[in-house]
Amino acid sequence: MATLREVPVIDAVYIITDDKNLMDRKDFCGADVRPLAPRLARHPFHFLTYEFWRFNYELHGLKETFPLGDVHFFLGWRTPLLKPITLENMYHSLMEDGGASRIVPILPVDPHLYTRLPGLKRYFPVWCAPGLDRQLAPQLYRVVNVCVIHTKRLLEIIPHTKGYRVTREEGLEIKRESDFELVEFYFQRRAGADISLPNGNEP
Amino acid sequence: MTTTFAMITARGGGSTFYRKNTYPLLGKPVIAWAIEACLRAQCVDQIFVWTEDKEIRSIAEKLGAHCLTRPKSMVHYHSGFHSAEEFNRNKYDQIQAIAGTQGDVHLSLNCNNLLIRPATLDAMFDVLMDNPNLGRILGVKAVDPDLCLINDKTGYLFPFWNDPDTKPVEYPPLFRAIGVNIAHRLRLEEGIRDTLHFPVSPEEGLDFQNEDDVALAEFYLMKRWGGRIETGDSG
Repeated sequence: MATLREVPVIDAVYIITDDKNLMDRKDFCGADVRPLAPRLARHPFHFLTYEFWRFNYELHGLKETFPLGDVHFFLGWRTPLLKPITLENMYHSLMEDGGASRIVPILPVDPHLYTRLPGLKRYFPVWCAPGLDRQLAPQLYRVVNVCVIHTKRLLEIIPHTKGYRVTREEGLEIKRESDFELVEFYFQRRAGADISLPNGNEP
Repeated sequence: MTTTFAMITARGGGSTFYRKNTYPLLGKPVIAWAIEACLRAQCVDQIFVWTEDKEIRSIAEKLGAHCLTRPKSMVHYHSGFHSAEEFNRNKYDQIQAIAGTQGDVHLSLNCNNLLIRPATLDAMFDVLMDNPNLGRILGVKAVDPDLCLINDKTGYLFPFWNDPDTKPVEYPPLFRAIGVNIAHRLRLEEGIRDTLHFPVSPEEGLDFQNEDDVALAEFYLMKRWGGRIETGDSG
């Protein structure tokens, strides 16, 4: 919430939710609380999709909840470390590129990947060039679940998504309970606080 | 009696950021953390560090590791000066000269994986030794499957998995190889080449590659060993 309010190009902040506790409140931390349309509650939002019917469906679903603007920032609670300046830079990068309708934060990922089929012990290489130095393999990126969307371009079928490279810190997404401690660590570090632990937990 | 040698290849310059292998994390160089993980592993008999760098050599020798001299012409794998066989022969001839044997089992550890636990190395070793059909065991770490590439033609993103009807949590699990592997040299020479993949925790699978990773590495090290991080800069 605080992050979005510090982005100068954002005019209004909405919380879209199906959480009953939140929905009972009209306002939360200064943001307007709106219920998510039931048909979107289980819908898999994909910021890289090229299917026009899909983003048309999604935007019209969201239109039932709040008035659509020219540009939308979609941000969840799992990315508390994304900085306002990063969101602002993403916005400007998108505005300056007429060929893209969306921009997402991305983080480089080691491409030396395997997958595992249920019931089998073996791991299968996703792509395999044995002996190839991993620094020579095609680069892969993890998409951070945040998106800035240029509504008009999207509806005019300009479906490309740009990537905006962020740091590991900003790209952290809370997935496990242990990630909260890491988030707190990063906030303390940003505040310039010295951090110390007298003893570790290693035997 | 099986002889197990740990092998760390460490370049002075660093392939991803300058002098990465001697970068201090909580006051101790990256390579020192990696060597200490091998020192505490029960399965490791001796540790060898292959390097051309004086500072790395000094750090390694102080910790009790043997240093193997890496010729300058062998610092870059793709320089074109040497074949793969020549790289291996250089290392193993030196090991033979020092230890009197090339060792039965080789544990290779990339300095990037400084957070691997000795207990994990021992567990990997035990699995390898308990399965006579295995030639090698390779560490892997789970990764988020929501991936993409940058399309060369357009410069825009292209999804790695292209099933928009599936939520990312339902994608097939993905893992990446980490720079920790244990090879049974004798079995491999006999043609027993099966590889088992051994999943490690997200923390142990951290790939320390650039300055962006310093904070995270220090966070995990501090949790394990205690310590103090002085910051003084804010975002």
